Amino acid sequence: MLYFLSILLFIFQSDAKINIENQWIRSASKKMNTAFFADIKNLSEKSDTLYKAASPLAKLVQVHETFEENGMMGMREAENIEIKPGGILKLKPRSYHVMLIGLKKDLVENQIGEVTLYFKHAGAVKVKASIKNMIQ
Amino acid sequence: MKYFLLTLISLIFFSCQSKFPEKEFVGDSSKKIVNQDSVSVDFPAKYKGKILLVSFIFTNCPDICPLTTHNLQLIQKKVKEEKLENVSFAAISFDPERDTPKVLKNFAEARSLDLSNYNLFSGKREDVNHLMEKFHIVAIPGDTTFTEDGEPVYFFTHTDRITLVDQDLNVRKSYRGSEINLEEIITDIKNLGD
Repeated sequence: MLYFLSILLFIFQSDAKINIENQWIRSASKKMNTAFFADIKNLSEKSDTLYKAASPLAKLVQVHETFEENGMMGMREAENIEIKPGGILKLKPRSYHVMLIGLKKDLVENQIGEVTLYFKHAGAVKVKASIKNMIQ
Repeated sequence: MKYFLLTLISLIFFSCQSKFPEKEFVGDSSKKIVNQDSVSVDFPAKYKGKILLVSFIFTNCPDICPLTTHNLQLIQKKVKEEKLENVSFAAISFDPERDTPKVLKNFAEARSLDLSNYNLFSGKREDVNHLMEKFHIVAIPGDTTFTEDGEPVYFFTHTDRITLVDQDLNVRKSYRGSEINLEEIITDIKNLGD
């Protein structure tokens, strides 16, 4: 029975593959806000959707996008970001990012932080990310 | 000969103009603001005689302002490497209620800022607003949300800019803050220094 369930689980997971690379979190002080960045590859044969993120590092975690309007820069919450089959969603500065709001501790360069990304098909994907001062 | 001289003068005039399209005096609008060490400064009067690069930021900004801050660091580093003298850097918070000198100090430490010629400023709301107006900076607070423990969270939609001010306190050029052409800015600093 257990063997049968394992096979089923494997079949289910093999249809919803998410690969996360180049992940990092920008360093920041306790109580401040920062962002998580990564390249998210959808290796499955159907679209997937990033709809939520969570992290023990912050009081509040949201998926955001930076936008430019009339020469001004702003941010807004991004809901349900679709990633096409074989596509890459780049969470990067000046674009989509996971906002870590109200940090519970200082995030210092070379530490490791954890973020969980939630996808409609792939489910929860936990990822560890290096804290870095800046990448450009 | 007359035409040649006229052409030469025109060329010199237009080439000087194209280097620095702006010339707006801001020296008559100084306000007392405080830096990360709570030292009160007449801004921008304190910087008369220096070349100044100034940005307006808020430290709770997770994306654009850290890029602008980092870009000022890159310029600062290049200025040191090229041994350009008399150049200063300033970042003024348009969120002074939250960005107290202590918060600015922590921000500087977290970002490993070299504060030898780089100051972060806070101040009274009316004084900061006055300086923002003078430097044509707009920052509009967005909706407030709350964390689980009731702390308010809000962000700004804001101008993304680094401003170059000459030794006589004239604004000479503006650049995007979060994305820069380092060589362009260094060339402009050199041109002002000549």
